[in-house]
Amino acid sequence: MRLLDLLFPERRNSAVIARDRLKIVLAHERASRDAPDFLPALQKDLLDVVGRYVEIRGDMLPVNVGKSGDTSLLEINVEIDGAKVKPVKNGAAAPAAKVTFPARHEHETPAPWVKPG
Amino acid sequence: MKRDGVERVLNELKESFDYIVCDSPAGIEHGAITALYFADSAIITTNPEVSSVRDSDRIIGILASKSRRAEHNMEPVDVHLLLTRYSLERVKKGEMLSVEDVKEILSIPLLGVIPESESVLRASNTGIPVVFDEESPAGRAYVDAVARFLGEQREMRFVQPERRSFFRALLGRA
Repeated sequence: MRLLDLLFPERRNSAVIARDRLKIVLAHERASRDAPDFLPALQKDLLDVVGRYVEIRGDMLPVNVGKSGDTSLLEINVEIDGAKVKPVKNGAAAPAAKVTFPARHEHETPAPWVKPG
Repeated sequence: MKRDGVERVLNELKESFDYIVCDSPAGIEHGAITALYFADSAIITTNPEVSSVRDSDRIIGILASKSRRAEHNMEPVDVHLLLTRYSLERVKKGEMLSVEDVKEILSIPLLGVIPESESVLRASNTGIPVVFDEESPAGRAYVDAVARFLGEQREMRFVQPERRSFFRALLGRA
């Protein structure tokens, strides 16, 4: 069947493709529709924390809410680039209080519990 | 028209009518959301097409979260699915989403299936509602859908293959 599809791509059942496309699009849209309002703020905080150790961009840390049966799941995937690990002083993870934000964060207000400087 | 204007008109009409049908523009623009805000029931009218089903899903979401009933924690809007421009032949060839597909994706109860029919354009051209065309399968399907909406049990037509006509059988088509 696969071979046939390859040889005659126009023969593929387009209704099945339509159904699959819809399922994917709607799964995304429903997830963002039902998402709690705090997700963007949570993502920003997580980026700040992870960003102290590794260079990371927003699209490398998606935060979603999903469902598995009756259980709501908070799904956080962190993709890191091993080559862009930031140097850590004293061989241990820098404690939160001593952290200075990288330049790109300086104009932003830090989370309220982080002492400035 | 703004929401309070719509409310005023609806309240006036309520004095004289049992049912007020509020047609909504296709898509999910401001007009559609104003039209659905005060709804008690909604008939989600969709084609078996990706873009149409997708918009329907959004509208179902808006009905569930932003309608008057949702905002006031009342019984949710009673939602029905009306599938139009349905071509059984194309469904069988795998060229069109089936009624089962759309029902499964949107998961709302089915009110009716309107077959694709030339009589619809004719009705629109002449300004005579297609339900008055007794020959028209689409007209009959609309009458069935209304009866079901009013609580009657009617079997779904035009979703099963009809008996092969001699001519079609000769051509080898289903």
